[in-house]
Amino acid sequence: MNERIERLVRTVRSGDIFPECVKVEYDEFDRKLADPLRIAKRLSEYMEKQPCHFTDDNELVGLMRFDGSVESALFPRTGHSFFKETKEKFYCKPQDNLCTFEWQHSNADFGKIIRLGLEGFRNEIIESRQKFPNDVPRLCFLAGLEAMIRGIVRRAQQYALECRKRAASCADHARKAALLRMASNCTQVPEHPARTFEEAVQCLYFCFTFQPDSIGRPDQYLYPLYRAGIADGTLTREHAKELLQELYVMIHGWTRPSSSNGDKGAESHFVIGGYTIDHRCGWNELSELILDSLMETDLIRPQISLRWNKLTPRSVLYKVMDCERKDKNKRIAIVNDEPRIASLMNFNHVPWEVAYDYIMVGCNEPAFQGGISLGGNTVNIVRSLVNTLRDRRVEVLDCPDFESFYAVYEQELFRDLETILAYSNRFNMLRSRDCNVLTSLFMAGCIERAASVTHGGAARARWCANFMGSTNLIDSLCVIRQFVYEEKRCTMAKLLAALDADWKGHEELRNRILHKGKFFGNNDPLSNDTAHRFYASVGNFAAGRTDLFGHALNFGNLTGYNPHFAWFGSQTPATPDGRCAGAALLFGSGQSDGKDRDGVTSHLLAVAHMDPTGVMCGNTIMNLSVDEAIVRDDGSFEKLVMLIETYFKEGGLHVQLNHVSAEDLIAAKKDPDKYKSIRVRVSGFSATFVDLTESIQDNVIARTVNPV
Amino acid sequence: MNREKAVVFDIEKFAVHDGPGIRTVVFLKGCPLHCIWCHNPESQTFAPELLFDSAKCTLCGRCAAVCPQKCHAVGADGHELLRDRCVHCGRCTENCPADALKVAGREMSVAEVMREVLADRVFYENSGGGLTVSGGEPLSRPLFTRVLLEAAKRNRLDTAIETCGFAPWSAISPLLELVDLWLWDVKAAPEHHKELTGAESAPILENLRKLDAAGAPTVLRCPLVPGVNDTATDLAHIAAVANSLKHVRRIDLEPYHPLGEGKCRKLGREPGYRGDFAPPETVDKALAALKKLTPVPAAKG
Repeated sequence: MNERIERLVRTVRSGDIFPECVKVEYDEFDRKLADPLRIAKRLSEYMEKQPCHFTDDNELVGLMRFDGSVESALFPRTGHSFFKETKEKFYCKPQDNLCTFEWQHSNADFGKIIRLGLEGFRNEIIESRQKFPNDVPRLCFLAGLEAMIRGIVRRAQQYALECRKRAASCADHARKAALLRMASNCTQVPEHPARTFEEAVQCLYFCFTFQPDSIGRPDQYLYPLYRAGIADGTLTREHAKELLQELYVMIHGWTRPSSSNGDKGAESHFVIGGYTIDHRCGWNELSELILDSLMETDLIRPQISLRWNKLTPRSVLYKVMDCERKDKNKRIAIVNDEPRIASLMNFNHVPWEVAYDYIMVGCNEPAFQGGISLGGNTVNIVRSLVNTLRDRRVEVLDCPDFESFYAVYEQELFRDLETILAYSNRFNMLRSRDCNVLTSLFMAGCIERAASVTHGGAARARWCANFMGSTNLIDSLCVIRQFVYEEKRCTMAKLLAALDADWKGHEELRNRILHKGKFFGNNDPLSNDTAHRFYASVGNFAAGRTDLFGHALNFGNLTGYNPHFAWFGSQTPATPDGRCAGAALLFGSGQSDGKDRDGVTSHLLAVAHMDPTGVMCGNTIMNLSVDEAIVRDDGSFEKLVMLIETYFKEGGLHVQLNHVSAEDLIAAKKDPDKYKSIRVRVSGFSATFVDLTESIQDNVIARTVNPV
Repeated sequence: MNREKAVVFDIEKFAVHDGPGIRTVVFLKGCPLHCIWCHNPESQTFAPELLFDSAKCTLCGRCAAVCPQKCHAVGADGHELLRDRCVHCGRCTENCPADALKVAGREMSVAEVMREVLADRVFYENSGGGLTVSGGEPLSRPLFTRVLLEAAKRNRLDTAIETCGFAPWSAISPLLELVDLWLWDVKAAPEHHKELTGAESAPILENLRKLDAAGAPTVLRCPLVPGVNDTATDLAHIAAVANSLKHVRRIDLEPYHPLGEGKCRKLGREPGYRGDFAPPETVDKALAALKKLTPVPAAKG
């Protein structure tokens, strides 16, 4: 990292690099205009009044935020008044202990802007207009998009002018040349296609503010210009790295340091690697450069996922995991193309030509470049079982076997899934009342359909709800199956009595369950089959159903920035898996409270094989905690890479690693029951941490301070 | 194959230090040696044993209520465990809410062990790993070990065995075709081997000589216990053994850790040795000394 980038990194880590928004007085008469025209007019006026701010260290320009005075960028929902009202009423407010309203991600197709320039978009608008000759609302929308292009181009020209002005008075020859190059870049992009790698990155930097979410697959869409520049000698690897790092600085800084999300990484997340359209492995030298340049910068954002597939060389996985183990900012995760693309194609009926190009955004949401993630609702999936045991008690007590019990349960599951979908549709209807022309310009389908992304204009949309407590639910079903029906260790009446009493007076039963229960994550036939059955039911529910915009349904299990799992848990009574009333639910695919007794290989296999349908290829995560000694020792680390590779070959969808922190181990020492699954390497062997004597625990705690 | 049984005290998955690739290590209970530093004291006897962690015990008395043998005397003053009555039925461990009681060892058939081992086949295939049989001392259960290794080979698994080598040659020779790597302990110089481990080293070294003559690849595994077996004489012995072998691949120095001490207490025994973790400088010094004495590569195991 050179000194210029070092200064930029220091600056962005110490405060806000974006200029203060300049307030703009709009002519209220424009309220008489149709929404798309009013919004485009006001946005153009707003942009024109903002300062062209950049420092002597910048070689890329375009820093600007919107102030909420008009509908602008979709991801932060700046200025979207209906969204604001919906958020105030429902955000972080669980409804019926079943469903909460969450944020949504959406991603501009930056590759298309770089490839076609806004002039290409203008041509598409002209073409689309021919399709709707008498449809005034649609023609107004298209006119709004066209006005938006004019406003954006004007903004870029302002920057070009400012660069030329500063160049004229610049005594330093190198800086003067840079300023003139910057002016030239702003004249070319984003109006016209980028001709060089530098113009492409400038285009990305400038346009990011119009949809500040994922930058998608930069190693794919930037690669042709990177390759061409390196081949003809106009670009060096070092210069490309500098440009990427300056881009990261801006992305990091986009989230205000003072905001509650200032310390979180998922504000911007993109992918490297993955399949190309012609079924090759997309990992290239630019992917590597993107990763290397990220590793050099001490930033929290952006975060990256490697898209692994069966063509990914082990050396690439090793490289990415090696970066992961060294990355103190924990910005790297890995996802698997194979189950994801299979699910997109077979379960969601997305063609290969779209499916191969998926991206990961936010915490871990699959999406498309130029696509929106709908849904985003986080739900309490345990409620369906609680309802079964409470409202269907007479039937449940009469069930002679697990099959008949499950049939009753499945009815309650479907009832809750229907309600979740209804909630989601209602939330999305509220959100759809806003009109957006800025981000819509960059979303696939909005020009063609002449409709705002908020009104269902996006062609590449994903719908997903996140299950909180899916592991609690599967474990509870396992306990019912094992203890009540197969081993007959207790009657259903006795189990229900224990749950009603929150296990008080039934501690012996709870102990037996916790000690002998065949819980998910141990790769045993009963828990594996129970998980399959549950996810098959979810798949059956989702198959053929769509949301109100006609998008196929997927499910996931991440909790995002908000502790939905704890909120739902606090309202949920005791469950058959031994969980007490009010305790937090689990999130993610696996266990995190010590019930995975059979080791990491069993855990990973159970998770890799859990979903026979592909319905869980939504926002699904797998947290894996490993002892820091494994990542510190190269020999062991190589085997960890092979472990993860095997998990992916077996169909695992996602993994993010935790090298057990000292804080966790101290907590484990204080509360061993909650941390039974942590295995640690003591000295060439592994042991369950909570079973070690105190002096060894202290030794391990002392060693696990991250040395990076 | 299904009739052969042994007491297994642990099956460790994703083992990364006991042979190539990702492995599953099967630990058989029972050992003819009694090393004073033993880090797995629960592996020494052949029968299952009860581990009791008094620090965790809440004196709730549930164990006493369910124990058919009346092994547990629990009162306000404490929890007395009458070990000689215990038949290891596991009722107390199942009912202990504090996880203070555990049975080490359960009888398993080869088929049961193989079921667990084969569950991880995909990991072995992707990493060049496989099964390692360890203990205790697996050669103390020669028939079970042989049948287990035969089953592993029938399933085309890579195999390794970790052994102290104290066994009749007749227990070793049938395994020559079944074991891909021998992890062979060299615990101390002959002059104090018996004092530290309870057995002479001569038969062990003779077995190792025969093994090498038969062309079996070995890794020497040498516990390094500060002040006990880290003398110049001990290191010279390790080097001499390594230099005498044609098929040795590596020397692993395994620094002492005090894991066994806590387990001894849980078993109601006094540890034969008390010490802290072997300091890194002791290991480095020993490795440096070995480097001068033998061309066989040595590393911290």
